[in-house]
Amino acid sequence: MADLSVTIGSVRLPNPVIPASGTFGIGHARVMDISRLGALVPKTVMPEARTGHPPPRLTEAAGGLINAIGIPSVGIEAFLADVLPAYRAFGAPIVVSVSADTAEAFAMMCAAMADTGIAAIELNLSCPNLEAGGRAFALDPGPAADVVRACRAATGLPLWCKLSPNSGIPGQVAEAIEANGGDALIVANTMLAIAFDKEGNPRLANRTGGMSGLPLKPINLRLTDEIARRVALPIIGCGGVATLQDALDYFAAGASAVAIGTATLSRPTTMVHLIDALDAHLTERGLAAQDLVRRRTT
Amino acid sequence: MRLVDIQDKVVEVDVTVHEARIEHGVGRLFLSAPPEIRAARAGQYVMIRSLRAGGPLLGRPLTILHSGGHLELMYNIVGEGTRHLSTTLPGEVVQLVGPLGRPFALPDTEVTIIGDAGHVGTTLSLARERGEAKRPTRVIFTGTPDAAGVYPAAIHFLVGEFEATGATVDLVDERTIAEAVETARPALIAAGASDGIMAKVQAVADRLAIPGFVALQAPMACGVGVCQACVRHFRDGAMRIICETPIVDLAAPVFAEGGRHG
Ligand SMILES: Cc1cc2nc3c(=O)[nH]c(=O)nc-3n(C[C@H](O)[C@H](O)[C@H](O)COP(=O)(O)OP(=O)(O)OC[C@H]3O[C@@H](n4cnc5c(N)ncnc54)[C@H](O)[C@@H]3O)c2cc1C
Ligand SMILES: Cc1cc2nc3c(=O)[nH]c(=O)nc-3n(C[C@H](O)[C@H](O)[C@H](O)COP(=O)(O)O)c2cc1C
Ligand code: FES
Repeated sequence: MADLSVTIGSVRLPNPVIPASGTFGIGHARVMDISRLGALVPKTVMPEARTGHPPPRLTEAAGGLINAIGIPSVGIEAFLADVLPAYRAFGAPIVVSVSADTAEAFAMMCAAMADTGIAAIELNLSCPNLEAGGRAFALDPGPAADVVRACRAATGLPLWCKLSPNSGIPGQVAEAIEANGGDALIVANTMLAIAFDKEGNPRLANRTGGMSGLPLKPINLRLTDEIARRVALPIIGCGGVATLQDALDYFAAGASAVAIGTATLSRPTTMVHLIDALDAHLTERGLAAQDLVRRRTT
Repeated sequence: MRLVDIQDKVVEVDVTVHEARIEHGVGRLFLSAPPEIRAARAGQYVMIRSLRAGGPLLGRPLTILHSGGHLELMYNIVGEGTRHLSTTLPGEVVQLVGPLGRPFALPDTEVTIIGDAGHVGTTLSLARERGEAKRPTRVIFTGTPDAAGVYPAAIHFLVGEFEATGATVDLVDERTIAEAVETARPALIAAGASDGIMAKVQAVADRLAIPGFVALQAPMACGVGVCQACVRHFRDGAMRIICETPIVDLAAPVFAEGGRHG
C-alpha cells in the first residue's frame, strides 16, 4: 500500500480524494465506509436557516448536471449542534463549507467554528447567493479579499477558498486570496449554465444553474493550470473528476488533491474506488501521493 | 468507522439482467439482486443506471418488486432514461443503489390502494405484499378511456397485474376519481398517482376524514438525503426532501392540479 497522504498547507489529509460540498453527506455512510475519504465535507452552511430554490432544482445536460439547489441550510447554530456531531464519529478530517451574503457574516461563522475540532473551513465564495449587485465574491479580487481578510481576523483555522470558473480574472482573485491570508484554493465551483425542455421552458425553476461533471473538467483543469502558476497556495482540483486519469490530470495541472461531486451522484462509491485506483497506481510505481504534487512556475 | 444499522444499509451493486420485456408499452426487468435489496418491503426503491455508453448520468428511481428469487422492476417509458432502459438486453449489467426509502407501514385491516400507471411499481409492490400476507385489499386503478370508453391495452395489462395479487380491483376513469372515492368510502387509503388525481383524492379524504398515505415522486439524484434535489411542497408551508421517505401522510403534501408527479 502506498503512502496516500498529502498536505494542504498545515492540514494533513490521509489521501487526496475528498468530497465536493453539496454532493456528499452523512447519508453516504449507508453506502460506503466514509472514514476512508481524505476528508468529510458537508454541504455549505449559511448563517441562518433558508429553504433554497423551488423545484425542479437539478437537471442532466450535455453529459453533466446543472443544479440550482440554492443552498438550503439549517443555519450555523443548528448545524453545529445537530449536524456536525454526526460527522465526528468517522475519524476523517472534517472541512466545513460556509457561505454568506456579507464578509461580516462569513467571519461570524468562522468565529463560531472555534473549538469544534474541524480541520479547515471552506469559504464558498462562488455561490450565487450574493452581496449587493448579484455578483459572487469570487468573481472579483476586491470582494474576495474582503471576505478572506475578515475571516482571517476571526479564526486561526485554515481557510480553503473556493474559486469560480465564471470569473474573467481568476488569477487576480487567487492572488488577492493569497495576499489576505487564504491557506488553500478549491478550483473550482460550477459554471453558469441553462437548459430548456422541448417546449422551450427552462428546465430549472431558477432558470439558470451551475454546470458540473464531465463538461466542466477541461474548464476547471485549465483554471487549475493557470492558478498554479500564479500563486503558491495548495490547490484542490474540482470539476468532472470521476476516474484515476481525471485525478492525475488535475495533479499534472498543479493540484495537491481532488474534490469529487457529480461522479458521486452517478455512482456513490466513486471516491473509494478512486482511492483504491490511486493506491494501485502509486504502489505499482513505488511512489507516494505527495510525489504527484508538482508545481510549475513557467 | 461507524457501523450503520443493517436495515439502514444501502448497497451499490452492478447486477446482471436476466430478462427484459416490454408488454403493452410497459417495461419489465428481472435482475439478480443481493440479499439487502431482496429484503426490501413494499414502497422501497432502487436507483437503476444503465452502464452502456450513452446512458444517462443519474440513476432512475424504480420501486422494488419481488418475483421469485429475482428483483423485478416495472416501468413506464416516459423520457430519455426509461427509453434507454427499455433497450436493455438480457445479460447486460446495470448499476443498482438500494434499498432506498421507507416502506409502507399499514395495518392488517382493509386498505384501499389508489393508483395510476405512472406509480404502478409502488402500488403494485404494496398489493403483492398484502396479497402474500392475505390481507384484505381493494384497488382503485385509474386510467383515461378514449371517446368510445375503451381503455388502452396497457391499463388492462396493469389491472391484470393487480388482480393477480388477489385484490379486488375497480378500473375508474381518472376524471371521476373523486366520485369513486366518495362512493367507496375507504377506511384507509394508500395512494400513488399523479398530482392531478391526488389533489382530488386528498380533497375527498379531507372532507370525509379518511386517513391514508401517499407515495410521492420527485426527480432524484442521490436517494440518501444528500443532494437536496428531491424537494416537494407541503401544506405546512415547508419544502422537504422526499427520497428518504417518500411515503407520507395523505394530508401533508401540496398537490398541483394537473401536475404529473404525485
Ligand atoms: C421513489 C420512486 C419510485 C418510482 N417507482 C417507479 C416505478 O416502479 N415504475 C415507474 O414506471 N416509475 C416509477 N417512478 C417514476 C420514475 O422514476 C420516472 O418515471 C423516471 O425517473 C423518468 O425518467 P426518464 O428519464 O425516462 O424521464 P425524463 O422525464 O426524461 O426524466 C428527466 C429527469 O426527471 C426525473 N423524473 C421525471 N419524472 C419523474 C418522476 N415521476 N419521478 C421521479 N423522477 C422523475 C428523471 O429521473 C430524470 O432525472 C418512481 C419515482 C420515484 C421517485
Ligand atoms: C447538486 C449539487 C449541489 C452543490 N452544492 C454545493 C454547495 O453547497 N457548496 C459548494 O461549494 N458547491 C456546491 N456544488 C458544487 C460542487 O461542490 C463542485 O464544485 C462542482 O459540482 C464541480 O465538481 P463536479 O464536477 O465533480 O461535480 C454543488 C454541486 C452539485 C452538483
Ligand atoms: S435525491 Fe438527493 S436528497 Fe433526495
